Amino acid sequence: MIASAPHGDLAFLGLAEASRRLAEGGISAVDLTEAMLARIEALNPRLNAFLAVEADRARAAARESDARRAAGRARGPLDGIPIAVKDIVWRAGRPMTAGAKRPVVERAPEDATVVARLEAAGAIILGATGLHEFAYGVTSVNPHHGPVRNPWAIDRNPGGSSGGSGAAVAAGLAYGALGTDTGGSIRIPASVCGIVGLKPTYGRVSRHGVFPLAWSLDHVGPMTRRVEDAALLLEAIAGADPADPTASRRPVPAYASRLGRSANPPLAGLRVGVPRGFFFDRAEPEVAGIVRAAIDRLAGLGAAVREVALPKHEASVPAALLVLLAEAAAVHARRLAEAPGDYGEDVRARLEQGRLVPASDYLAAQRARAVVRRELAEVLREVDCIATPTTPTTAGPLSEGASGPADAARRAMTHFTRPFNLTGFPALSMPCGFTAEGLPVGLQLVGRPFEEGTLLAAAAPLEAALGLTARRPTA
Amino acid sequence: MTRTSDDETLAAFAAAVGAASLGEPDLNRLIATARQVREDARAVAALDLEDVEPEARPQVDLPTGGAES
Repeated sequence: MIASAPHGDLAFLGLAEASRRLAEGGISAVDLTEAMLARIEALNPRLNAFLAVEADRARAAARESDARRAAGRARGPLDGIPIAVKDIVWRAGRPMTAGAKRPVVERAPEDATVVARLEAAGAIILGATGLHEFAYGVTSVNPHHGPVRNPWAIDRNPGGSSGGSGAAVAAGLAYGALGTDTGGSIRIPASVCGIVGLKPTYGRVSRHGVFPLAWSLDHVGPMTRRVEDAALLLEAIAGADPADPTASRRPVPAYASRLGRSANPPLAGLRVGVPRGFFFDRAEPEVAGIVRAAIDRLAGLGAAVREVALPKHEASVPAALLVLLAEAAAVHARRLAEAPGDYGEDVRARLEQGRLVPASDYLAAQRARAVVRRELAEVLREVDCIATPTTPTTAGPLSEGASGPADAARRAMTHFTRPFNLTGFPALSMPCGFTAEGLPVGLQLVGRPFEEGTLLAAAAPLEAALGLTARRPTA
Repeated sequence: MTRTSDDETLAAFAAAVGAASLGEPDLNRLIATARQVREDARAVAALDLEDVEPEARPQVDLPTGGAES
């Protein structure tokens, strides 16, 4: 179905490649936008990746982009590129549902900073993508808007909570998308949908105009089919923002242009740490094997790979959960009291659980944050990044419902990603192989604060060596 | 679901914080989730947190020795 949908060749160009073709004049922003809209029309009834498509607005923006380019005023690599935005991010004048039963806002008062930055860069916003209700879950099986489906296996979920963004990018319905990540909600759908997802450092990207799940764990970041594309999107959305006091004032590096620097071998000088125990012991054997093979490829590209120990790491999962439970319960306190019936069963249960976290346990979890951050920072003095599986398993069946197979399994799905929301260190997921069943497997690279460039520079040569980008979903 | 005396304490706590207004089946669920919260808290408490102050947000602007830090 996906393979036979219209404009396949154009749709599966990387964002950067589409941008180069726009600059060369071979295609127009209108061409790209019409291709995406045609594919959304053909495939969205099957995938449910988009909750809202803004075709007229996108077409108008595409015409404006082409006019700018014709006048020699193109704004940069994102000018004319169609992008999708998770429906938890304000778009001025538009409703924002956050995946809830009723819109959280009927008309957003302004664009979120990330949307304003994308539009200032000339990107074309196609519409709003589906998600787990209030971004509080990892299946994107939504009781109010229906399940988002995985483009690699239509009877499986796309991960979550940014499942619509993951499915849209994987199926060639957008050249990139914005996701949010509080416990893995960018990286998990990226992993199980076979795309790249980057959770930046806490504060690297403004969260102004993004509905919170847990203030001290929330991140906004790019989801794309190629590493270079993630670099371009991150460059566009990162940076200081007076409207978000947590946004860092550090300068934003030119991530994408750094990827062009070649060494021989490509990863000479890069030190990669592979944690003993925890991650690989808990992953399914086939997933662990595929990830280990990808790490071997990193070594083959010149990286120095060594084992590292993170003995306190395991405690970061319950610590992050306690923080999440308590903060999410606080975010939703009024709404839950006024309209408990508006919530799906799984999200309501988690919010009720959050009301049972004593303040002393919340503070103990914040103290644990300091302990595990120090341990991670210490290890990252010895290596430049850490490599792990992104998730312990591949995409789960839709039949398991919103919570997944059982609470324990849901918790396990976030075990490898959640710790880095607690510490705020940047983490990238990239496709590194496929199971015998044809399902994607993700490799997670974790780096030092504000060193997203190191992760991207490690991922790009591996992506080229693995040669997986030509593989397309067939669901 | 068999309740222990510890569960009765949890149930009373759940009722006190207003999370248990949804009837008996939901109270049982709350007890189960409260048990999970306690397990999480015990796992966190296993760390040596002596002399450690809470970090309300990730402290990422501290130097970590990296090239870009």
